[in-house]
Amino acid sequence: MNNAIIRFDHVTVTYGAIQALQDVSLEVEKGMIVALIGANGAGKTTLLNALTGVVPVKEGHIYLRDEDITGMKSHLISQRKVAHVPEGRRIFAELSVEDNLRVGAYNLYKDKARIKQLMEMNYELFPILAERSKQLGGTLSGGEQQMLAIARGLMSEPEIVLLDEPSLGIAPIIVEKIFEFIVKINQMGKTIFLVEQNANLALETASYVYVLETGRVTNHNTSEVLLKDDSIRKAYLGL
Amino acid sequence: MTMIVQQLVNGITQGGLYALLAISYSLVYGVMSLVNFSTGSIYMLGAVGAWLLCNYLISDFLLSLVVGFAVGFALAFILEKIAFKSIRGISRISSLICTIGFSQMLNELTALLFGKATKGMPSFFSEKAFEVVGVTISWLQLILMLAVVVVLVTLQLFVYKTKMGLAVRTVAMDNTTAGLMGINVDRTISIAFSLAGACAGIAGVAGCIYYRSVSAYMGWIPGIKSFSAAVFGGLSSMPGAILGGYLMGIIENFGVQIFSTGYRDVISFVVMIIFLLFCPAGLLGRKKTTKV
Ligand SMILES: Nc1ncnc2c1ncn2[C@@H]1O[C@H](COP(=O)(O)OP(=O)(O)OP(=O)(O)O)[C@@H](O)[C@H]1O
Ligand SMILES: [Mg+2]
Repeated sequence: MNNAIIRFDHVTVTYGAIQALQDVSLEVEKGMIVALIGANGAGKTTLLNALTGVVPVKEGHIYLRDEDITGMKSHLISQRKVAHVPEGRRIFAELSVEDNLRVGAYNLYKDKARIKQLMEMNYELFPILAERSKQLGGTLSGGEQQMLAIARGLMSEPEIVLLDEPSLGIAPIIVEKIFEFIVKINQMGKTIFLVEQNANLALETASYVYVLETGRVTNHNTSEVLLKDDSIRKAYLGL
Repeated sequence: MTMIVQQLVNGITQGGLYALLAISYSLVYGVMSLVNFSTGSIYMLGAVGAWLLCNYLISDFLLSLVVGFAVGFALAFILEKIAFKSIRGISRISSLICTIGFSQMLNELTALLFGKATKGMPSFFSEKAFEVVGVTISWLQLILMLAVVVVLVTLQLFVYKTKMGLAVRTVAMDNTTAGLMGINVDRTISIAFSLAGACAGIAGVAGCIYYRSVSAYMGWIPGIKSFSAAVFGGLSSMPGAILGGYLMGIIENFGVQIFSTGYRDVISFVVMIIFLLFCPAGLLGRKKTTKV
C-alpha cells in the first residue's frame, strides 16, 4: 500500500518483562476499513494504545500521514484528527450522555454552533442517544454505551477512527447494528482501523485484515484471500 | 440559645478555613488520586507571605488575600513540576511520602528563615459589626465568611462552567480516556494542583488574620483537621469537602463549648472517627471508579 495514513515500522512494546508487541509492521490505507484480529492477549489493544500514546513504544516508529508520532502525547494525536474508541468503552460514568459528547468535542469547545451541529448529526445516527441525552453515562446499557463511545469519538470530527472491540459484551442483534454504523461512518469518508476478536465480523466488514498472534503479525491480506485461507478458517472462523 | 447561635457563627467562620483547605485536598485527590500532605505548609506560607506584605509593604486585607493566592498557586505549581510529575503513576505510597517530606522541608526552611517564634498580624476590621440578642458577630468574621464563600463559588464556577473545568472533571474520572479526547492531561493536573495550592494559600491568610498570628508550624493542625474534614465529606466530592469543612468547624466549636478548650483538637477527631466507622465513604463521597 502506498496510500498509508497509519504506518507501524518494526514496533516493539514491552510491559516490564512481557513483550506485548514484537517487531510489528503494518499499514492502514486512507479511506478503507482495515481490521486487526487475534486471540485474547495477542496485543491488539496494546497496538492501538501505542498508536495514541497511551503506552510507550520501546523500539520502532509509528507514522501518521508520514509524520513520526512515536512517543507523542495522546491529546496531540487526538488533535491530529484521530479518534480512539477504547476497549471497554470508557464512558464518563458521572457525566450525562450530552456531556460525554461535549468532552468528545473538547477541541471545539468554543465553537458552540459546530458542537450543536455535530451533536445533531450523532443523534440522527444514533436516535437512542437523543432519547437518553440527559441520562448519566454510567446508567446506559452496554450497547448504548458502545454507541455513545463511537458517537463521542465522532464529535472530534476525526478522519481516522480506531475501534477496539466494539462487539465486546453486546448482544448479537446490537452488534449487527453497530457494524452497520461502522460501514456508514466509513462511507462518510473516514478511515477505520478495527480491532476485533470476532474474526467473522472483521473479515465481513474490513477490506484488509492483519492477524496478530502473541505480539507478532503472522498474516495479512485482503479479506477475500483470508476467507479462503485454511489456517485462518481453522483458527479464527471455527470451520 | 444565644450561646448556640454564637458557637454556630464562630464555627462557620472557622469552618470556612477548613472548607478552603478541604477543597484543596479534594481537588488534588480528584485529578491525581493523591493526598497532598504539604497542603498545611502551603497554608502556612500563604500566611507568611501576608505577614511579609503587611510588615514591609502595606497592611491591606484584600492585598493579603491576593498574596495568599499567588504564593499558594506558585508554590504548588513548582512542587508539582519538580516533585510530583516525575513520580506520578509510579507508586502512590512514594508520592504520599514525598508530600510529607516536602511539608517537613517547607516548615523547617521557614522556621530557619522566618524564625520559630510566633509573630503577630495587624488587626483588620476590629470594630464590632452588630449584636443581635447577645450574639456578637465581628466585621472580621463577616468579611472572612464572605471571602471564603466568594472563593468557593468562583472555584465551583470554574470547575463546572469552563473548558478547563471540564478537563479537570474529566481527568478526575479517567485520565487516559481524557487524553484520548484531546485533553492535555499534564497541563490539567498542573492547573488543578496550582489552584488547590491557591486555595490553601488564601486559607492561610484568612487564618492568620483571624487568629492574628503567624508561625512556621501553624499549618500542621489545620492541615490535618481539614484533611479529616475532606474525608468526612467524601474526599472525591468537592461539595462534600466544603460541607465537611464547615461541619468540622461547627462541631469543633460546640465541642469546646460543651467540654473545654483543652479538648479542641481531640473532639473533632473523635466525632470524625465515629462517623467514618458508620459511613466510610464520607457524607457525599462515592466509590471511585478504577483509575489507571
Ligand atoms: N498494563 C499492562 N501491564 C502489564 N501487562 C500488560 C498490560 N496491558 C497488557 N498487558 C499484557 O500484554 C499482552 C497483550 O495485551 P492486550 O491487552 O494488548 O491484548 P488484546 O489482544 O487486546 O487482548 P483482548 O482481546 O483480551 O483485549 C497480554 O499478555 C497482557 O497481559
Ligand atoms: Mg484488547
